[in-house]
Amino acid sequence: MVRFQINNLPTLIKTVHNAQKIWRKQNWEKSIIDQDNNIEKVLEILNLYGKWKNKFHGDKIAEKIMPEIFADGINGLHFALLGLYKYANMCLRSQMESALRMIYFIDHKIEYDWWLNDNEWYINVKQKYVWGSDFTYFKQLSKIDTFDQQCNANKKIYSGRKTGDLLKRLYAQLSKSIHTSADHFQTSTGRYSPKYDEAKFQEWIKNCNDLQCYIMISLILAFPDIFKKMTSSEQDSILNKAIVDLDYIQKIQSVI
Amino acid sequence: MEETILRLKTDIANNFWKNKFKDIGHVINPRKIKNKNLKVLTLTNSRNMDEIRILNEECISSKIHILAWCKNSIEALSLDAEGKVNEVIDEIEFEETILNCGQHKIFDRLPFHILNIDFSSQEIEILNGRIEKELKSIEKIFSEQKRFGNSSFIVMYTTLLEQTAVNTTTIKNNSDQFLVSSWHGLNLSKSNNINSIADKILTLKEFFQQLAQKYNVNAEIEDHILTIDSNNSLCSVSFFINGDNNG
Repeated sequence: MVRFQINNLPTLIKTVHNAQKIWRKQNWEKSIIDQDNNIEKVLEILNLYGKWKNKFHGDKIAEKIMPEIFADGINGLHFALLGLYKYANMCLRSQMESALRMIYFIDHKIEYDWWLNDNEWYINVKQKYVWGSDFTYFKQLSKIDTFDQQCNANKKIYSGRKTGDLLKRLYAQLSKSIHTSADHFQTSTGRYSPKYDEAKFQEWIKNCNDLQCYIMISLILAFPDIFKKMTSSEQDSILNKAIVDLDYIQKIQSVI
Repeated sequence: MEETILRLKTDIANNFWKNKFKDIGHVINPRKIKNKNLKVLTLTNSRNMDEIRILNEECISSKIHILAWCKNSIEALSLDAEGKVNEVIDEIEFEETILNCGQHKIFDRLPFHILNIDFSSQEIEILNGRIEKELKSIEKIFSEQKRFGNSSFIVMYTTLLEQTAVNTTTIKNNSDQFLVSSWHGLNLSKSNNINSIADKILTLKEFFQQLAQKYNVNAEIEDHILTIDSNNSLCSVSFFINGDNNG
């Protein structure tokens, strides 16, 4: 086996290697020192996807996509801890897409097979995503529709494009990192290595928590029978750690 | 409590499991000193992997033969990153999965030489019926393992014994659901709810003794108990199968 020896590396790789060791350690440790409670809460929420995966046992679609939802979340956190906020945001958008795709595919198994084989049929019919061009598909699911109707305009997750539509707003915000809008650069003038930035980290944490809340609500409302199979302690964890908002929790409980 | 259990696991691993692992290694591959290559399933967590260290140090098994089971995805990530096991399965509960998911991939991985079923490594939740369910899952995986013939293997069952009552009627009813011809049913000396740790240990021993009779196997049963405090003990029982009574 070839051993990794820094002194034998080509010049540019050696320089980059030494630099990344320094900024990676600094950012990782500073983020944890400053944000340990927030980080621990995110990890507790991400762990809840394992509870879902377990309850979907035997469903090949859920078994394939659910670990990806978890991985997008945990890798997003890793990027955020390293000060790589642009890429941390990309992970969150990917996580949102994976979760929504899973909800759609579980009811559309033929399209899932197309998707597995890289067939992008939805682009040919001028749709942006497998589920359509907007998030309105999810309102065709009866419990999501009932829930959405009960929510006030500013708390609607799936509809109310002018007044609410939190899913769409969050998606648009995360997409700024994908399309690299001016205020979502990884670098700033004179700064090339990633740096811990409290405001950016907290913004990421808020977006992450909001997204986990919307995903968990979507999973519960799309698969209420699976949620009911969980133990009361598992249900409590999902409601109180991931969703948190009492108004949402009460509405979920009345809908399912 | 969790930190105490993690600490005590080191004691159990060094002073009990290690000898049992070596014993089964000697039975399976008596002429091999190194690389006995035993196939292992272990319920573990990344905060204390002493059994994996021992399996490697004693040349009883190696990375490619070890399958680790852990309770959550963060643990799985950590175990996988350590790179000391071939595969990590992250499910919520071993017992729930074994009892209710007949198509689970773990059944495709059978048989194992060592089944290290350490529930104490899986963030135990103190609930009524916990021990009863654990034992039912032990019998389930044991009966599945027995389908592969009469070769030797060892089951290490480790759990926390605490104040919650254990219902022996439930243990009997659970066990009797696994039908074996001419078996008269599990017969435990203590009836209904038992509370004392001594009674629970006695019941565990009786359960494994009768499991050996029920499935007609030569078995040696030993236990190793570590007292945590007046209400809690960590209990490990080894169930060493040395072929069946016909072999």
